[in-house]
Amino acid sequence: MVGMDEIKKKFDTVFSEINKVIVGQEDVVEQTLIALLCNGHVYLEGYPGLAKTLLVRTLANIMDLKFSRIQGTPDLLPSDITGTYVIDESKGKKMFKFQNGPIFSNVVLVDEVNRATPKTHSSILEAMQEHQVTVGNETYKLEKPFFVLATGNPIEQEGVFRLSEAQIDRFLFKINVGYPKFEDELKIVDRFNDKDFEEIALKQVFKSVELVKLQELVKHVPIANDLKKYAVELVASTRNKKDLIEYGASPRASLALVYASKARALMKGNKHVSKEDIKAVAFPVLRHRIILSFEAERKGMSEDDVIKELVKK
Amino acid sequence: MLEEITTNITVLNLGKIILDSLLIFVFFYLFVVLFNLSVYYALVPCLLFFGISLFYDFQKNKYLVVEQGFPDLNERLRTVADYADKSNPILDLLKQDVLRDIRKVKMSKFIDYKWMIVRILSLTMLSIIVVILAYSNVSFGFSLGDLPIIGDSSLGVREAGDNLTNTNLSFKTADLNNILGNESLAILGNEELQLKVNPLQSNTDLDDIGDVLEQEFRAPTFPKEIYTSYDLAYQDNIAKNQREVVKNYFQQIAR
Repeated sequence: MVGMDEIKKKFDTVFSEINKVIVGQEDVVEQTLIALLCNGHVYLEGYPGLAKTLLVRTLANIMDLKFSRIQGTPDLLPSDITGTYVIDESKGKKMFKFQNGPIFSNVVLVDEVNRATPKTHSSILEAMQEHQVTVGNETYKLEKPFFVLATGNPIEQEGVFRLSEAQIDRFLFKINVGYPKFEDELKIVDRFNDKDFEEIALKQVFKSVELVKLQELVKHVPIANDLKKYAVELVASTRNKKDLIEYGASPRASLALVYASKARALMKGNKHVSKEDIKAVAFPVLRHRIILSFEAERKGMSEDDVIKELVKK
Repeated sequence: MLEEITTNITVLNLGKIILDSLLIFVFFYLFVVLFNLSVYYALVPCLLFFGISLFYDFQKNKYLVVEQGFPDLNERLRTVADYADKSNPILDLLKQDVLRDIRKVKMSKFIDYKWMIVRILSLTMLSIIVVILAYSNVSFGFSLGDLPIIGDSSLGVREAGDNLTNTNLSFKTADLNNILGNESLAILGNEELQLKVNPLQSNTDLDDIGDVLEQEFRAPTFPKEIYTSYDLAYQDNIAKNQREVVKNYFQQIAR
């Protein structure tokens, strides 16, 4: 028997542990956890210094997950990520031995992914989609859970390789990390004035096995047919609102929307999906899957403004 | 449990629709009678309303109606209903919760007493108007005759006798010879031709007694209050040569 209250309590503990390190950014933390529950991947966009890396590292610590970090640079090669064959002479004769790359982790942070070349993007995307990497003729399965968080810097556009629409569609969520509120920033300064982030003791809340079980449980959260219909209508409306959206979201977005709303319900300790869950996850699910029209841009609207309009209906 | 709820809500809604349809019928019937139109004109809007309302009611999600009345069940009832034949650990927990909370659902919550009182009062008022009009000698003959029937003397209040040709008790000029019988037999017989006056459809004031006026009873000039009737039982198929014998027989008996 599943204890929904127990699950809720555990996630409340996760939040409070993360709050020890990250001040504010509740939405970002919540959405990241939802994506983790969905076994999906996240594209975090925000200016430097907004604790994106810190968040991912904290998450990995709390959940007893292996963490690795890749810094996106133009000279980054796919083999730098996936790993490569090295000569092994330990047994007296020369043999090729596969040396795992940083992708063989539970939580992989790809910092400034848009600085890497498209060839490198492809190798990351294969891992994200198939949960496996192919090196030479060999294919290697990745450990479960596998969670990629890619960050992007929205201001620097020179010397970057923008992810194509098809590539960015593979991310379950695009999370916008904004500046903290004044009070939160003051708290950050107070808290880390005399000690380092590493000094903060974090409690381990989940084991990786528990997380995998919870990921399985997400599939069992029921959603009423009416709400399923609402989710699909919401995604379909992005394709019909031609005045504001040039290209709408694909059916993959419908799947993501329903699945993410199930994960949110589970995280909140609810035994069913509510409309509120769908509305809450609509923003991170849709914002990277729509391309605004010239008219919307002329009006100075952002993706979130357009989604807000769709959700209101 | 869930089926019981949907059945009850359906029955309640059906009752509302029937009451509304009835109201529409009575309302239109009043107009139809006043303007001397066919009853079809009252039946058509009533049936149309009934059909459309029934269609929309069947489309309506009954669980949503319950959830609107009991916000505690919001979205949970629909979810359980959609997964009625499925089972998994979370769903089973949800079903238990809903079954516990559904006991709080009272059907009386779905009866809109204010709405009902307004409808019943309206129906009563319309019925009283019908009774008053009937008392004022307005005919409420329920005719499903041809469509449309508009009095030849333009629109106006239909009064008794205006439309005698359209009733069973009509004045039939074509059958006059049959009713009166063979002229030779009529001379031979002593029976009187019975003329009936229908007091309900008459404008005749029985208290207004005066001298008898000479009236030429030609077929089309019969007063509208007077009509003749005959019964098919009297149309014997007695052979012509035996009629005299039969007639004599009855005369003998009558003595």
